[in-house]
Amino acid sequence: MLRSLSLTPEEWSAVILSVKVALWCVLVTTVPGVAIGWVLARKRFWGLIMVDAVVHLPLVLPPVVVGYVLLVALGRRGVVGRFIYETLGLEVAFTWRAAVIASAIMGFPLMVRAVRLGMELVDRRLEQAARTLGASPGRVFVTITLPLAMPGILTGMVLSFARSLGEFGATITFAGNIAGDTRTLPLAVFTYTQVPGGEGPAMRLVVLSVLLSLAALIVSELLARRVKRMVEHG
Amino acid sequence: MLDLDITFGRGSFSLRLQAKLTERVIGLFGRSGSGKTTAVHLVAGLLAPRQGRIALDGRTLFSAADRINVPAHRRRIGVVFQDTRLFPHLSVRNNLGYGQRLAPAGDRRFGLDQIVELLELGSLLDRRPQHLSGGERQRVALGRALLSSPKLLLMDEPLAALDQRLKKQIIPFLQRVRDRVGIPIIYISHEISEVLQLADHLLVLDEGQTIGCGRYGDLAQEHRVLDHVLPTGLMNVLEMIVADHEQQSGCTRLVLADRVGDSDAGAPRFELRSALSDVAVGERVSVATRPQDIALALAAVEATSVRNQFAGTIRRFVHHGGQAIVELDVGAPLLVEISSGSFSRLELAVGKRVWCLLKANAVQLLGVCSRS
Repeated sequence: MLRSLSLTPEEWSAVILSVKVALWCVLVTTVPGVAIGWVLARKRFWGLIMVDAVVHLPLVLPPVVVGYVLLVALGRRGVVGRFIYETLGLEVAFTWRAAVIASAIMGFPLMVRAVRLGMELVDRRLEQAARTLGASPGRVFVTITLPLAMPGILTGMVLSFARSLGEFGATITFAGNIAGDTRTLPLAVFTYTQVPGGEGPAMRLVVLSVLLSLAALIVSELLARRVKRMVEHG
Repeated sequence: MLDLDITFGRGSFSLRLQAKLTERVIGLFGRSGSGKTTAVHLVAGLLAPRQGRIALDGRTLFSAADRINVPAHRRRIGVVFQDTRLFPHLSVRNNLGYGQRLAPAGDRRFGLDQIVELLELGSLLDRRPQHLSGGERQRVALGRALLSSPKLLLMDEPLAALDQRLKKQIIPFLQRVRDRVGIPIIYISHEISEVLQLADHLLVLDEGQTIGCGRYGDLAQEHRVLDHVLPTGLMNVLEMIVADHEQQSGCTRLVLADRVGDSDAGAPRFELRSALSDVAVGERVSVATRPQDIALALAAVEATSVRNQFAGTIRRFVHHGGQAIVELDVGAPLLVEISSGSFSRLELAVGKRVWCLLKANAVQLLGVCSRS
């Protein structure tokens, strides 16, 4: 089993790229995810339902549509893409950054839902008590809300990571399928299945993919349990 | 001094609070649903009144006219909540320190050690709130509020969730805080005997309306307040010291404790014989007697089973719903409730000297305050 899992350099690069993209994806979505999750859990204003709908859009849209929209907007000739290229000299489309953006957007609804759930479980009476003790709203958020919502936030981070590992449609449309550059694990599996004699490498990557996702979920569960214990029982 | 003149409404509930509270310790008394907790939230800044003004020691905290609404975290008003609201993710030590760190350095009144000693929290410091008993949690909540050095402390039914035994254990701590810590306190409860153990000035609320504010003895002569209080019963609450256990009668003799500021220490003190057994000689205790358990006679009665006979002078009275609420001076103010018929049959009047009869087992123990 282990021997059959020895990977070629090309396969390795797909695995490493996938993990790198997934980590970046978590990194860039956590802060906005917590912010939007908090707004959805706590704020009531006109237009909230619109924010909610937009955030959840990637969950129901075909991924290829999301990828195409990103390509149009962030491609070198797109409105935003041209601006970024001209001011920062950065190319986005068809680079690993595009893979990060594609999977970040696809995973964002999952992150927001988990954070929101975590925030909704925080007892607001504790926040009131903190205020009567002299804590400003910002301090209440950092010292009470955030730690108590941590299980939800961690779950959101892991879901975002796992979703990124599995992202296919938006990535291939927006980032392309460039070996060593944007060919993540799922893309590599897809590529191998399209060429004769690719069954072996494809199967190895499939097994690895399953193991990686399983590991992410187990780590998340262990982490969530640990945080929960920390929060509730010391 | 807390100056309140506010209205608040939500749905069909409306609240009108109007009072100038000048005493350091005030009891806020009312039935459940009378708006007590809403009043606490309004004063603390967790809710905004619709109209009016709130000022504490001359500082305006809320004014609809001037568009002032000082946020809760800048009001410096501490709250001890009925449900304690300890932070589950922090140890007792960090719960206690939470507000202390936030108080301006110059305003901090106590160190952690002082409060730990006052409330006997030493053995709890490294525990989490989840591992504390109900009474311990309430003491930590009290300590946490004190350490934030508030200018006013609101205690919102801190004992309501505790059983009788625990209540008796916590009240001494509350009395300690009242006597040794100079912070003004508003003690909120729906139990008159509980309020009277801590405060003798009351603010009475009913259905969101302020129906009385003043000294308990004065309020007990007001019809509006009696309408509200009589269904649950008036109460005499006295702080007394256990003098001795009488061998032959089996009674425990109690003498009235000095009130702070008493001058006539040499005068004979008011005494009661009670059936209390689980108190030790020298202990300071709170006891309660119900005014309707006391009978009046024009002369001492010989040969009776009643253990307590003492003389007093009628200070004032009021007839209310067929009952006469009489305030006697027996060395301390004492309320007696008899029927209006009996009152006129005995031809009672202000200044008249009467004998009170009270059975020993009508003296209930509310709590042991401390050894004196």
